[in-house]
Amino acid sequence: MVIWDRNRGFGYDPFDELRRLSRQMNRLFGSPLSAGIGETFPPLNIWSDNEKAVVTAEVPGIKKEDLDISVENDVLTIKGHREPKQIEDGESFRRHERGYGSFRRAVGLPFSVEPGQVKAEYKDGVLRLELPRHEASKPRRIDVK
Amino acid sequence: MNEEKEIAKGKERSQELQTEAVEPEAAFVPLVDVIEKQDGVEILADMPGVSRENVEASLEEGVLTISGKVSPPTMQGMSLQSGEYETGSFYRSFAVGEGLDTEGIEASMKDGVLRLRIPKSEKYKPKQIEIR
Repeated sequence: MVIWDRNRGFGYDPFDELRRLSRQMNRLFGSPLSAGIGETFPPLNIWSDNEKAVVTAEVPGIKKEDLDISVENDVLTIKGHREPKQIEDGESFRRHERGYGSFRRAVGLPFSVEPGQVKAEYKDGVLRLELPRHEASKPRRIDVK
Repeated sequence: MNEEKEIAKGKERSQELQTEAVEPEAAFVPLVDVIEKQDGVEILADMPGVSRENVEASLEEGVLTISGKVSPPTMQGMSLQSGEYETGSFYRSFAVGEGLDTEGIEASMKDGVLRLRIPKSEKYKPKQIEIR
């Protein structure tokens, strides 16, 4: 496959037709409904100890304001949207691997968390959430009298 | 016509060690968009976790290489409950045609996405012929 070829300058360009087709294909598969982002986007890592859970997600190229994070008991939901790369006439994709569109993921945490004390940070395309464990869900030692 | 010469193969990230890369750890292959424009080529590469200071792009003998380092997060005393991705270095290289002006490369990094713009050399830019 050609990654990019030199502009041929004058005369007939046999790749023109292919470029046009490729543009049409990009448009066809480019709608958010059939976006490249699957149901497992974003990939998550979940850590925990007795006090808190930490969740990290790889969400490169997403604006902070396009992320919507919510917590209910022990379920964390991350919603968001990644803008498709727009191309103009005369431009064509030689590689189109990056996914885009809307995503929504809900995951179960090891315990219920305090929704008001969740800390979220977005840096270099990685979202990091710190979710303190709900007091009532902490294990309690029962003294036998 | 330039045949693609990707050292790093595979659409998904692979954990194979690149033979050309002298990396002690496994390297991931970043997903890219390559857009051909009238006046050049634009490359967008997803490299989550890579900061501006830890990304590198180099061009040598017609091969463009992009790489980035991710430092694993520190999770002291915590245990991993569920792991869906691993962190490490990113590495990918492309063969670049001689029609590109390698002096004029511009690079920027934002939110884990590396963006490179490589202008076409003057003589390869499409020209409008004036008819008198």
